[in-house]
Order: sequence, then C-alpha cells, then structure tokens
Amino acid sequence: MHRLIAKQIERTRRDDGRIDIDQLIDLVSAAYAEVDRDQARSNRSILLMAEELEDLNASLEQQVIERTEELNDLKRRFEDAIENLDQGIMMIDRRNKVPVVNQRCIELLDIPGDILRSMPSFEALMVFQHARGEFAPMDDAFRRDVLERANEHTPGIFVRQRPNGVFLEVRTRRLSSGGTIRTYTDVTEREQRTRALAAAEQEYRGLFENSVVGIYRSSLDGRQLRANPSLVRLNGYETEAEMLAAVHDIALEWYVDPARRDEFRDALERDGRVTDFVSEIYRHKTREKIWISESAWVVRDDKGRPVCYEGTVIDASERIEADRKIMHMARHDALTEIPNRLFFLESLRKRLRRGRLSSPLAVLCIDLDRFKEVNDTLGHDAGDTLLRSASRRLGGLVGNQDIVARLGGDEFAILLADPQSDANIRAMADLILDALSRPFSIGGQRAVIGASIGVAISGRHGDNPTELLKNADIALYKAKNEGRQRCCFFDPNLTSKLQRRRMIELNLHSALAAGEFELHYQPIIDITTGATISHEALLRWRHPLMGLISPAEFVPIAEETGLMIPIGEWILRQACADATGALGSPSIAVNLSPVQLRSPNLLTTVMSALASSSLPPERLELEITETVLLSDNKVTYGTLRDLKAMGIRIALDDFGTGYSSLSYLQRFNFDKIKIDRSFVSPSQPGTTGLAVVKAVILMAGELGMDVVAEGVETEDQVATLVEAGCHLMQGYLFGRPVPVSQSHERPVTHLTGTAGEKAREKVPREPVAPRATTFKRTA
Amino acid sequence: MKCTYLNWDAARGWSSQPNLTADARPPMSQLVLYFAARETLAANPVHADLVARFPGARIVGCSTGGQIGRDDVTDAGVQAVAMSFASTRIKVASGNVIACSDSFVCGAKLGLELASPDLAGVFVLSDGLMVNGSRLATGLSSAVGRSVAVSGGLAGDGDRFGETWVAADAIPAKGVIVAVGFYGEDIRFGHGSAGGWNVFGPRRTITRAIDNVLFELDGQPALDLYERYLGSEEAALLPGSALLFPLSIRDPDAPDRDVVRTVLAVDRQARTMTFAGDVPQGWSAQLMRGQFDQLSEASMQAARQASATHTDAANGDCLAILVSCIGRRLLLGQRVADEVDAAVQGLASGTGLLGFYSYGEIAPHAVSGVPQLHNQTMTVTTIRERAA
Repeated sequence: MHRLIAKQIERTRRDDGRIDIDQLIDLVSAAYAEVDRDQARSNRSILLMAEELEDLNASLEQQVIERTEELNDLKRRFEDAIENLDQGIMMIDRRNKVPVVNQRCIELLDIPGDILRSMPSFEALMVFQHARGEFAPMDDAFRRDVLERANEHTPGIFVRQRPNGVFLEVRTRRLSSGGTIRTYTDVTEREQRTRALAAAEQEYRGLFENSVVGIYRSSLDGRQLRANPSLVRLNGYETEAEMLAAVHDIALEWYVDPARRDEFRDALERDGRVTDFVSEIYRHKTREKIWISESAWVVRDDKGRPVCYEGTVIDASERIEADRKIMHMARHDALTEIPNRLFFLESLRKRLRRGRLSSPLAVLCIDLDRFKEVNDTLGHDAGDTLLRSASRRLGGLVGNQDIVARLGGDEFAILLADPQSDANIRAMADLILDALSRPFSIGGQRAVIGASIGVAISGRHGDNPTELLKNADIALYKAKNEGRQRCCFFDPNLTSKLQRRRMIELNLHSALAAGEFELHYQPIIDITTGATISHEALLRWRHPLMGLISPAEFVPIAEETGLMIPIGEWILRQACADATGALGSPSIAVNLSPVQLRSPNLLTTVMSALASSSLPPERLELEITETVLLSDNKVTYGTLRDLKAMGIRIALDDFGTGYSSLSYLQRFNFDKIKIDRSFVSPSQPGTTGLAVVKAVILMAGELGMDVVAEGVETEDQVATLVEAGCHLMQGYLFGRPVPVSQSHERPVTHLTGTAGEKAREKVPREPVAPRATTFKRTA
Repeated sequence: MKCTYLNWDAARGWSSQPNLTADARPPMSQLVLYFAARETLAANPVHADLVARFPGARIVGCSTGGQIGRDDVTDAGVQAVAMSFASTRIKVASGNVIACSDSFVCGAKLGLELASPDLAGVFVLSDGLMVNGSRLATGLSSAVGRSVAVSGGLAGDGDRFGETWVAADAIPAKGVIVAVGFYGEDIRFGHGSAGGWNVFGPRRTITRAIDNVLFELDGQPALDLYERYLGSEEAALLPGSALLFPLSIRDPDAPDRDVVRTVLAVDRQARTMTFAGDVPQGWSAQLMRGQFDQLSEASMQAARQASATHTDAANGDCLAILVSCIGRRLLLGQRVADEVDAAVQGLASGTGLLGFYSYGEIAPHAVSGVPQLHNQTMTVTTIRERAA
C-alpha cells in the first residue's frame, strides 16, 4: 500500500510541487473502491462456485444412488444369468476364496450347499473333493496335479470324468481383477460321441489295414492319397510310401486297355459310384497283367462338391479264370473237349445271321452205329475212349471254318461253313463214313463201328439252327433205317411214321422226369378158388400231345437209347410201392428188360425198391423173356440165381414164342412159366396149341413150376386149360390192365357161364394186337 | 544498438531520454516503435512528428489499452523508442486484414515477405479486433520457420473494444498488420510470458463453438455463465468486464497444455462470446481468477525469462518491450504499476523498456518455442545486439 500511496502522491503533485489533496483523496477512494469491487467479485465468485459445487455434489450423489441401483440391478441380472446357465460357474477371487457359485455348478460337482455358503477357499474345496473320491476316475498324475496346483488355478481347459461317469469340461480363465473364473460344462454326450468315433475310427483303421480288399483314396486329378496294405501288395509294392512315391496317375498307368480309364471316370461322374467294374490291369510295379474288380465312389463335402475318390479293389483274376472255364465248360463236351450242342447251335446261329447272303451252310448229324455194343461189351471206359478217338478223326477231316461238336451219347454234328455243292457234302460224308468205319484200337482190343449221317442244308431245309439240326437228325434217322453206313439228305417227304418214331425218341428223354409214365395192373386168377393170386404191372406212357403211346412203340426205342434202365428202376419202385399200398395185391409181377438184367446195379435196385416199400421178397415176381437166356450168359444166370436166393420169384414170360425151348426150363429153376397167348387163343383153333400147353404143364409140374396161361378171353378157353391141368389164368376174361385207382372197381369175373357172358359183354375185345396190352419182351 | 526513448504529452510535447537535442540526435535510427491511445493518435500528428524526427527510419506503432513506461502506466501521451543498430538489418512487411480471407493467410503472406536465411526474429503488431491472433501467429511462424522467434501483440482500444489501429510506415489505421524482420548474426531476442491467473470452479466442456466464437459451455449459453459471475453491475460493462474472468481451455488429448483465452466481443442477442483465439469444441474450459500479487509475480517471471537468454556481452543498449493484457489492467486498477515494477525487477539492470496493454500477446511458447497467441499474460521481448 505504501508504494501505491507514493505513486498516488506523485501523480497528484502539481507543477508547483504541492499536492492536490482533492485529487489524492479521489485516487485513494478509487483504490479502496477497486479493492472493494474485487472483494465483492471474489465473494460472489466463491459463492457461485460453492453453489455450483453443491449442485454438482447433489448431482453426483444422485448419480451414486442411481449407479448403486444400476449396480444392484446388474448384480441381480448377473445372478439370474448365471443361474440360468447350463454351465456351472465358479469364481475364485484374489484371495483364492470362492465367492460365487451357481446352482448348476453345485449340481454338476455335487457339493453340499453348506460348504459353499461358508465361502471356502478353492484349495479346501479341492481337498474336500479329493477326499470324497471326486478324482478317482482320473489317473494319479491328474490327482497330484489337482492338489498341487489348487492355489494356482492356471488358465486352461481340461476334461475330467466324475465318479458318476459324467464328463466335465473345466475352463479356467483369468479375470482382470486378479481372480479367476471357472466354468464346468457337462460334455458327457460329446465325449462319448468322440470316444465312439475314435473307437469306430480305430475299427475302420483296422479294417483299412487288415482288409483283404484293396482300399484307396485318390485326388480328383488321379493322385493316390492313401492305399491300404492289400492294394499295395496287389500293385507289387512292399509299403504304402513306396507305392505312393512310384505312382503318378494311377488311372493312366493301370489299365491294359486305356479306354477303360475313361469308361471308369465317365461312370463315376455320371452315377457318383461304380460297382464291380472289372478290368485287366498292370500290377504297377511288375507290369504283370491281372484282372481286378473295382468299386469306387465320389466323396463330397457338406456343400456337395466333389473332394476326392474312394474305392475298393479286388484281385479278380481267379474269378475271371473260373468264369472262362465255366463258359468253356458250358459250351464244350467234357469227355471229348470238342464243342457241345449249345456251342454248335450258337455258332450255327451266328453263321446263319452273318452268312444270309453267302453260300448255304450244311449241318451233318452223325450217329455211331454199334457204339452201344462196344459200350456194353467192352465197358464204359472203352466207350469213352472210342468217342474221343472218333471225335479226333472227325476233327481231322474238317476245315478251319467248320465245327465238329458232340451232341450227346454217340451223336456228333458237323457244321460245314462253305460246302459249295451237294457233291462236296457227299464227298465229305463219304470221308467221314470211311474214317469212322476204320477199326479203333481200344486198350489192345479192336472195335469196329460204323456211322450214319443225316444232312440238312440252310435255306433249303430250314433257316434257323434248331430246325436245321432237327431236320439233319430226321435225315440221319432215315439213313439208319435204310441200313446204316450211309448218308441221307433231308427229304421233306420222309414218311410220317419215321417222323413219329423220331419224335418218340426225342420225347422219351424227358418223359420220366415229366411224370408221363404210369403203371396199369392186370390180375392173375387161381381158377380153382377164383381168387386173385397176383397182379402183373404193365407200363403205359401218356404223352401230353401224342396221347397214350404203346409200349410196343416206345420200349424198343428206350432200350436202344439206354433209357430203359432208369425207366425199369422207376417201374420196380412204383410197383412195389403199389403192392403194399393202394393195390394191396398178394403178389406183384414186374417185367425185367434184358438191358436191366445185364445192368450190374439190378440187385441193388431191387433191394432198394423192396426196402422202401416194405414188400416181402416172396411177394415180388420178376418176369423175364426167353431172349434173355439166348446169350447163354453166365452173368445173367448168376443174377437170376442171386435174385431167387433173396426169395424173389422168377417167372419165364411168353413161353412158347420165338426160340422156345424146353431146355431152358432145365437150365434154371423158374418159379413160374407163363404160356404165351398164342397157345391159348390160336388164330386157327386146333390141337397144336393145346398139345404144347399140355406138354408144358406136364413138364412144369415135374419140375415144380407153376404155369399161368395168358390171354384167356373165353370160358371155352378156360375149360380147355382146366382140362389140360392149368388153373392159373390171366386175361380179359378176368380183368383188363387198369390203373391202381380203378383196380378195385370191378369184381373179378368168376368161372360161371352167366358171369362169363356178362364179362364178355362188358369188356369188348380191343382191336389192337394182344402184345399191346401186355409187354412181353420188356419189363 | 542504441535506443532513444521518447515521450510525448499534450502539455509538454516531445521529450527524450537520453535528452536529445537537434545536434546530439543519433543519426542512424533505423526503426521507431510507438504506442498511444487511439484518441491521442486521432487528435495529434504523432506519426508525422516521428517521420520528421527520424527520416529514413521505419516507423511502426499501434493503439493501446494503456502505455507502459519505466515508471508508470498511462492512458495519455505517447511512448516511443528509436533504435539504431550496429550490424542488424531490418525489414518491414505489412498488410491489411480486409485483403486477407483468413488470419493464417495474412500471417503467412507477411512471413513469406520477410523470410530469409539470416532472419533472426520478427516483431508483429496487428489490428486487435479484426484478427484471429492464434491463426496469425501460426501463419507467420509457418512461413518464416520455427527457428525464428516471433513476438508482438494485438493493438488495443482501452476498455472500449471499438477500433484498433496499427501504423506501418503510415498514419495508423484499422485492419493493419505490420511485421518487422531483424536480420544478421548479432541481433539477439529474449522472450518471457506468464499469466498468474488461477483456475477455479468446476471444469466445463465446450459443447458448441465455431473457431473463436463460443456458444455453449456444458450445454448452456456461455454468456449466461459470465453474466452470472459478473453480477448485473459488471455485466453491463461487457465485453470488457469479461476479462476479469479469463477462460482456461485444455485439449482433452493434451491435458498438460492449458491455453488462456480472453474475450474480445459479446453478442447479447445470440448469447455468444468472441475470443481472441480459437475455442475448439470438445475441449474443456475453466474460469480463471486473478489476484493482485500473483499477477505481479507472473510479470516478474516473464521478465526474468526474457532476460535469462542473454548470456553473452551486449553491444550497446538492451530494450525490453512489454506487452500485457488489458484484462490485467482492468483487474489491477491503480495497482497496475506494481506489475510494471515487478517486471523491471525481473529485467537485467540497465535494460530500457516500454510497452502497452493489448488485446492479445504473441510470443513463443515457453516449452515448444512455437509462436502463439497468449491471453491475460505479461509478455516480455528483449532485444539487443551482441558485442562484436
């Protein structure tokens, strides 16, 4: 203030050096006023500032209240949120205490509530859990770690299993405040899935590694990505690495036929997969050719885009080889190894199609004459050898384009591809006849056969393979009929009789299997008692189209073709079965064919028929004809004796016809002699027949053999026979042959005048030959 | 450097220190600075007198909010100094703010005119009401380079804020800016600037402002706040009274660098206040309050800073130009003399001085050295030539 006053005084000093008091007082007053104003300004400022600060403070307080409310709200929301979580949450604060745990956590860890309410330390919690066995499912290292690191709660993730089997994923995260937060998630399902996946993967890896099937994965550009050991071996390599290093584009380097690669790719792209794609490939390392069967498919991602290919490979070499063999076998004759009927017909069909405009083809059917005799006398092996030799001779005659085939049995066929003329065909036929008539040497023995040839020419004699072959066969039949060792061309005018015979022959093969045969039975009567002592079984063939076919027509054919053996066996079995079954006859008589009698299996067949029908041997009677005895074969007699020894009765049929000789009766002790109908009802009635009958009955009586008269049709005949001493009779008078089902419908006609008359009226005599009703030469 | 201090008043006319006679006048004064109230300049041929007295010298000056002499602060008369340099060359550049679209451009144009490798310092006087002093300083500095010290001030008009005049080798006029460049190796400048004001009350946020026009603080009209603090009596004296409460503003991104802003004008209709420099939106603002002793203390600090840079021996006189804020004078009242006394105490002994109360002070920032506009400060520029 001092300096201010000095200045004020200085300022108010007038020029004369005196002080202007009034001015000084003004200045001093002004200075005071300035101070007052400043003071007032200060006070005002302080007041305003205080007010402002007070307002600010109030606003801050309000803010604190609001914030506190917000915080409480947040806290509630936080609590709600963590309580609603599917995860268990545990907060561990800086002091290692556990202030926050949600209900889910308590459930997941199964911790008693009172323990958590005491806000335990995390370490104590771990100790509690450990003591309770919480970590028992885990290994020692884990348990040690849990306790040692209870204070660290290091951030990280691990999965552990609880004693109740539940898998928990435990995540520990550090908080900015210094503590940590742990979340517990039930990952049991995921874990189980993962483990199942791992197991499946392990299993699939096992399949991959151990499969005998080759398995691969390749990139879209053909690079091999994986190959299992089987595929590695298939390609000739030792290890997968070796193979993958060697292979560049497997598809390019693999297929023997490069086009297969594109076919494979095309199929894969078109269908998304390829199955059993069979190709010939090179074994990659050795370049050896093998056959394989591939299956492959496109592997796609989630969006359906192709990612790679996968596939399997099987070595199909054996299969292909087997297929080839089967194919060969199906078309070739096993015995002669030349083409069979199927192959012949296929080739014929192809040639016909191909050669429609070129010169005609010739089909030659060849049948070996007297082959059966060789077979029968020298045995099957000799027959087989003969067939092989014959096929070789035929093969040597024909050209490259021609085909020699064995159609079956002793039947061959030749396809002449370009015969040019009938003359050429005849020349070839002569060559064949010549070649086959030259003697065959079989096992040191000489066999002489011949052949018959039938020819059909395409166009002229048919235009399809079956027709051509059939017509050649008919021509063959004609050649045989005309005396064999000759060649006949097909002639459309061949007699229908021949054709019918051929038809029978062709159909006979399937008749047995088709069940077209049936047995009819005719009674044999003891005239003294009127009782049926036996039935004779007689074979009938009922063809679906041709109707009833006479045994006289088909039996010779069956015998020629060897079919009589199986047919005879069927008759035996059926007759025995009927005898004990529906027929209920005291005895059953079955005719035996000479072929059967020569068969080494006859005894076995008879035994089997008796056994399966339970028919006692003494109720079975086998009828044979004189012709069997003609050959004077020791084997035949031996067989007859064996049969008789078994208790089976043996009858000599048709006695009196052919070579009839009483000497036969002395050679074998027959049980019964059947006198042929020609003696019973001679066409010219006289005494010749009767004298023979009387002689036979006399002789038989002396030898202890029964005598049966066949073909008895009238009571006069009965009277004559009785007078001659024969009282066993068979004939229409007593009953015609009928099926089992009708065998009981008609009572047996007795020997009374009226009855005889009635019977004759009821059953008129058929116009057919008597041989048709009973078959004699055969069984 | 030789300085001749001149004084003029209506009663005595021109007097000088040292006492100049026609014969003893130093022949080679190159630069004359003068400061006077606008009325004085309007009523008297001050400029013409000086041109007559110092032919060949560059003569620049401005209107003030009071002249500072060694002994006192007065509103009457003229304070002037004539400088005669031993080796220093000077150049004067001037422009009119009306011709410039922007204060930055004005400053930059002048700076380009002065710029030279041997330019050592610039002293600038500018119209105090038509110029954004912040941008003027930035423009100048950007043209002459940051190594060149720029100082000076904005012309004043008492506490009336009516018109401010600047003389640049011509009769003083409004809208003028003049910059004097000092060239050579020997010229030395010292700078000091200090306020002494204290912030008080809550920190507010500039919620609305465009350049140097402030609209709102904390969402309320800024003028409302000022009127409340001033009270109805002093509020009537706005904008001058607003200088009693300067505004300290702070960039939130650089909270350690406060800048003080002083009011140039108010718009009672729009409730806005115009400051001498930018008040960027988003910055924080706090009212300031001054106390007599602290303002004087700051004045001394500024003088000490300005003297402290001179370590080598001087060739001739040393001049201190004091540019203080009109706000300080309004607050200090008769005690404004204390501020000058304090400055004298802060200066090296033997330093001559003159100065004026301005509407804005320009000086390099104490830390960065970048020239900028200061408000409510005592700014001291010292000039001397180094001894050869």
